[in-house]
Amino acid sequence: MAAFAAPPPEAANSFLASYCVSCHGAKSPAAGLNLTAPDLSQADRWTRLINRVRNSEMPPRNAPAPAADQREAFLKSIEGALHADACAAGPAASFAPIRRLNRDEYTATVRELLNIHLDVGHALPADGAGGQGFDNAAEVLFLSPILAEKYMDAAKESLEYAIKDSRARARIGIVKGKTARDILESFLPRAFRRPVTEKEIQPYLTLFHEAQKRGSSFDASVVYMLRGVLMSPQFLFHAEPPNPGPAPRLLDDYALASRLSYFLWGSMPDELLFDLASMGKLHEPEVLKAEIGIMLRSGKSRQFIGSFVTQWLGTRALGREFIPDPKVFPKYTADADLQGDIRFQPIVFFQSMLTSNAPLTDLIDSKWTIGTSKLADLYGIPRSTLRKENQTQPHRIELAPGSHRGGLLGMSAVLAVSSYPYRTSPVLRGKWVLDSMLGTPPPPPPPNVPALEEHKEGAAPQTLRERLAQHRENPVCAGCHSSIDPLGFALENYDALGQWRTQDAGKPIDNTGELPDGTKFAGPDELRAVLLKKKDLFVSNLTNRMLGYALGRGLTRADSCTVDEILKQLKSNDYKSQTLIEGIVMSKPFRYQK
Amino acid sequence: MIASGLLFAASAFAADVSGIWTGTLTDRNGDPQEFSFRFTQKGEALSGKLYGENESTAISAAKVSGDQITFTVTTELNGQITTSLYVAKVDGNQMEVKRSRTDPSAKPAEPQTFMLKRLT
Repeated sequence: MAAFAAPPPEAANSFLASYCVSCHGAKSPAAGLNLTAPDLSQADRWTRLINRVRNSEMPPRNAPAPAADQREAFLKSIEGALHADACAAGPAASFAPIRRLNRDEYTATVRELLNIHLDVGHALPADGAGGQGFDNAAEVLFLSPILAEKYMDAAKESLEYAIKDSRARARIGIVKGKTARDILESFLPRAFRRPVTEKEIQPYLTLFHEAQKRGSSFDASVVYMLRGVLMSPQFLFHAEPPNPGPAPRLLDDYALASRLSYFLWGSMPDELLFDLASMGKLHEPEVLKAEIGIMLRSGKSRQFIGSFVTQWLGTRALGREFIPDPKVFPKYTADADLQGDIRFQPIVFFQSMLTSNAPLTDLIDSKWTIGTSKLADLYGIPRSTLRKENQTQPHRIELAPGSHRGGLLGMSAVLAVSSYPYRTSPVLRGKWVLDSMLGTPPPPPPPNVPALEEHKEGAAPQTLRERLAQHRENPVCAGCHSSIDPLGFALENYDALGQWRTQDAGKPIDNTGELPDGTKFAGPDELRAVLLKKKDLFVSNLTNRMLGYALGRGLTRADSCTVDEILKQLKSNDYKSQTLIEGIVMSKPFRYQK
Repeated sequence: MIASGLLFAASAFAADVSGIWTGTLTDRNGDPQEFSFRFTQKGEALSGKLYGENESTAISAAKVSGDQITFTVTTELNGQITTSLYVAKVDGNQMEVKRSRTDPSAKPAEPQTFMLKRLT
């Protein structure tokens, strides 16, 4: 990261003087941080500082606190200065941290490598989320000894299955007349996703000969040899040849093929990608752009879209950690097809948007959505809107005006995971909009804040809105909730499963909201219009998330220049969705290595 | 003299299709189907493969004649063998392809037409 030695802007200096230097003064500064002459030379120290201010950890509770707008102005001025400093030289290449294939990548890779239809990852533990919030982030993909044992078991299980299957044997290269060396020469480059040297072949050949010496059959010896391959770090990890020079360089075509295939397919490169790499053509911009289109149109892209969308929106939790209350939503509980349709709607929507190159703003509001007969019934959409055949399968439908179902906010999956299992939560929904859509999550609640009181038996019925109004009377809560709750109020016409309603607790729904800046709106359609005015913030957030997903790591401030560059391309291209994918793949951090 | 002149004209007209070609066929249900081929041409002799989701399939009975190439692709799915005939007219870096089923069990149908563009 570039040094940030310039003094902070004037507005920031006055903030520091008012709220920080009483503790972080020249004389015995707290934590050794002297802010009287702020010339901190490392941008990451500033980043830590502003994160603590953003989360209201600083100034501490017993010290004078700045007003919300002062805090916001301070953060903006420092972030602006840091960004300008980091982007002085434009988008930059970056280090690609080594990372393990996650469970889904491992399963898909073994499936294609061996041509077996077996969920070999079923016994592996689920990977946690890291980086930009995804389970393919290097930050969480290390290999513990216990996990290594699980991978050994998975390798054994998959190879013992494959050796009995004629198609798998053909894919591995176990054909009459072929030697162990022949098998390795074709198998190893596919497993390592690059050409291999004679020196790399030898250790695995030794494994084969050792097994033979012990009296194992040819097949058993091949299994033993290939288990070694599947436990190699070259197979288990995204490992790229290091850049020997001091200057950033274009990735070699094989490494690029792997980055591309794990981004857009969540699996190993196919024969076409390998051929393009071996011809030295893949890095050519026109070839690369054409290949992106081919890959997105392939059925394998469903893996990427499903993984990205469900983690970004949090809908992966639906049916797992989050299950709608069977007493409140018995129809949902009893209908597995409906559950599947709800879960897949955002995924198929995103896929349809990409393949038709529709604008990313369709995610905020659209004149179409994905429908099935079950979803149409749930949403109160006439079945005549659906196509004539295969109405049970998800497909694109055009929405009538006033349907309230355009974009993500009209989808049951989104509305459910931003609710409690038994009721809606304007707070959770408001937070979801701020975090997932705009990338501006509110700070965590301060400690010891009382939870919202549920309705007490015998008490006069109160709407949720009335109870939240009571909650906001606490000034500690009011600061943040005045930004969060109004967004959720506008979505109150959707119940916790996304069905349309006009009453709550016997009283008419009040779907009005007003943000601290005075923006007023009523109901989901007006909220969508407000969000469309913030489309650059939305698209910037989406770009951040997808770039992090594509690179398999958390983003740094230097990456914000790449995000800016992609945003510029999107703006000049009507926010077309394929421009986002192309912008990421063609970006410096994706194609170059430091 | 005239014969050698004609021979020269024919070979000068013959396309060199060596390389990777890709295109999309919209099938009878309106769904896109991706096609990628790799061709290697030596004179009028042609070899190559059709890339698949999992593995490639070699083309056979392939030949080049002027600006036209023909070949067949035989695939097997769940024991059912299907042979398709491809006839393509090459025009610079693109070719118009007509694909038709040739196996006796296939129902008679109009050939499907799609464009391939040169990728490499």
